Amino acid sequence: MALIEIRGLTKTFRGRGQGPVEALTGVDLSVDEGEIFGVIGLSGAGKSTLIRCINLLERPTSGSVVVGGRDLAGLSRKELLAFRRGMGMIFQSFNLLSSRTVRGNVAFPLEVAGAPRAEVEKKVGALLEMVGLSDKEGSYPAQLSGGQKQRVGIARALANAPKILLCDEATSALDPQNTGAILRLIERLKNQLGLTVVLITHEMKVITEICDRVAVMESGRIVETGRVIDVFAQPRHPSSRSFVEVERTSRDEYFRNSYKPRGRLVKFYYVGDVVAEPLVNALIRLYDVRVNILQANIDNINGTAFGTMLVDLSGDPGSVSQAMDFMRESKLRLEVLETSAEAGSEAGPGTTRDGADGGGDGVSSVRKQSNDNQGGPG
Amino acid sequence: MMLTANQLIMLKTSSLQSLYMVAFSTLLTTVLGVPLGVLVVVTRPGQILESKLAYRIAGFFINATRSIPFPIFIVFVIPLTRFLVGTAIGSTAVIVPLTLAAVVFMARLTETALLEVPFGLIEAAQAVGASRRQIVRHVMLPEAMPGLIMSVTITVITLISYSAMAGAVGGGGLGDFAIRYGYQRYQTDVMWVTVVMLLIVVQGVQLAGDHLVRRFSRR
Ligand SMILES: Nc1ncnc2c1ncn2[C@@H]1O[C@H](COP(=O)(O)OP(=O)(O)OP(=O)(O)O)[C@@H](O)[C@H]1O
Ligand SMILES: [Mg+2]
Repeated sequence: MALIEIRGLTKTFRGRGQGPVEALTGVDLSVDEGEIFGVIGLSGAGKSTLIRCINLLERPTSGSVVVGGRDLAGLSRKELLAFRRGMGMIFQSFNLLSSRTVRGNVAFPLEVAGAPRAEVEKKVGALLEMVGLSDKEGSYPAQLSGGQKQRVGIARALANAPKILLCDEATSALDPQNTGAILRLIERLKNQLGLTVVLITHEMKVITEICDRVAVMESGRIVETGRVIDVFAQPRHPSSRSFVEVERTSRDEYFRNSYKPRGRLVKFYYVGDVVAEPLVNALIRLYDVRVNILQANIDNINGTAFGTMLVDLSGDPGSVSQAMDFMRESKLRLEVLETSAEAGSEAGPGTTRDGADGGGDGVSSVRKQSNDNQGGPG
Repeated sequence: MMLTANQLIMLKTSSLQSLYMVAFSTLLTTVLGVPLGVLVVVTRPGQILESKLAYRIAGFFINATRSIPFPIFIVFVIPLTRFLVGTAIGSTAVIVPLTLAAVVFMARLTETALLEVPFGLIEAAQAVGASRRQIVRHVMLPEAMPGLIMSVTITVITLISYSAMAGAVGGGGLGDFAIRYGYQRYQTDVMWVTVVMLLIVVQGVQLAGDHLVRRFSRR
């Protein structure tokens, strides 16, 4: 059984004036021990409500939340307080006590748990060292940068040695550099302390950088769940696609609108080891086709390479479709974005029929893969 | 501006009476008013001890008390004063209406100060398993400290001014002295001396309060 099991979770807020708001609708989710699980969604999708149901900062309207085999609904008030000590949480706005120093903030959960003073002293020192803030222990939050504040937040969240860390938009208030640093810190601490992390965000970058799995939320529902690499490489739901492709589709649009393909405008998607293989080279050598690479990109998604390449594939129609089959056999996913008038009007990844090709020597304003058209079909 | 020896003795007695009334009612007001303010905040909708009933009752009590003008209030609570102090006359007796009126005033100021504490801090404390009592003691009150000190300062100054009306029930004090000698017997000197004294005291209280607020502000 997963460490966190959420079944049929619904949360309805009594609306303030404008009627009830259904923030969560039948959410099912399971988070395995030791993973970093990301939840992505637009503002108002219900991400915060979802994560806050995991430590009962928000009471579910219906459905169950089971953590480590315990159904939270059955906890008494006292048990809930003890349960929450086994779970840390960090926030977008840090939520540090302004009246306490860095040391005092990190000591807070330990004091609340009734730890003896000497132990508090010792643990706080170790925690501050862990997040790299030993030199700031006497500072007040107002004197810290955003990145430093979040480090204090992390140290505080981990003070009672929890097994689970909940991150509610923990990096949304930070600049890209600090975002990266905080994410790496979370990843390191996860490995070091054997944490399970649930994080929510509206940035795909955060998901691809450290998450193992991701759930995409839209209007209170989870519309897609899967390994990050899978969702990123082949998003199924329109909402996931928009997160994955904001940047990429805009580039595709550019080529679609302002570039006239000689043959077919094809997009290749490749994942993992395929990246290392000289496929384009093979393509040119084996088939009588011209390959004009318009754009190519490789992302590192939590350790796995994920690449996309936009090419204009032209030449003898038979050769072009053979070339496309070859790429498919090589475990690439293809998507035909556009077909030139001469190359036929059909489109779609499954196309094999082709019209005539205009030929020419493929000069492009972007980048050109020169080829010397040797060898016939294999 | 010269006061007679007799007047000086009266001035001294009045000052001590004022000090006595204000000091005691400040103490009682703080001890009772802050918890009442806390109660009003934590029982609010969405707060950590949400309770419509408690919130409404406390709110009504505060508003009702605040709506009665102080001189009338003194008379109004005479039965209670008799019950608590044994008499309705004198400095000690005046402490009862003074405290009651100031407690609700203080409660409202406390409420305002506590509501300034971002709810996120309370949630962060809940997330680490803090109990409601711990949240009030270790989060809400310390975080609102500058605001609370400001509230006490305002309350003390209000008490000084209210205590001037203590003469109505034989409570004495500087205000009473100024009215009886300075106003009713046309001894302008006496009035000026007391006014200046009050001014200095009020200024002093404000300065001390501001200083403490600065010391406790970390935001
Ligand atoms: N306490 C509340 N009372 C009423 N409505 C609420 C409350 N909290 C959240 N909502 C509503 O529930 C919906 C989901 O909110 P939630 O905060 O979970 O979204 P989110 O995905 O975290 O968005 P964001 O990225 O802006 O933080 C929104 O429509 C919001 O207005
Ligand atoms: Mg949110």
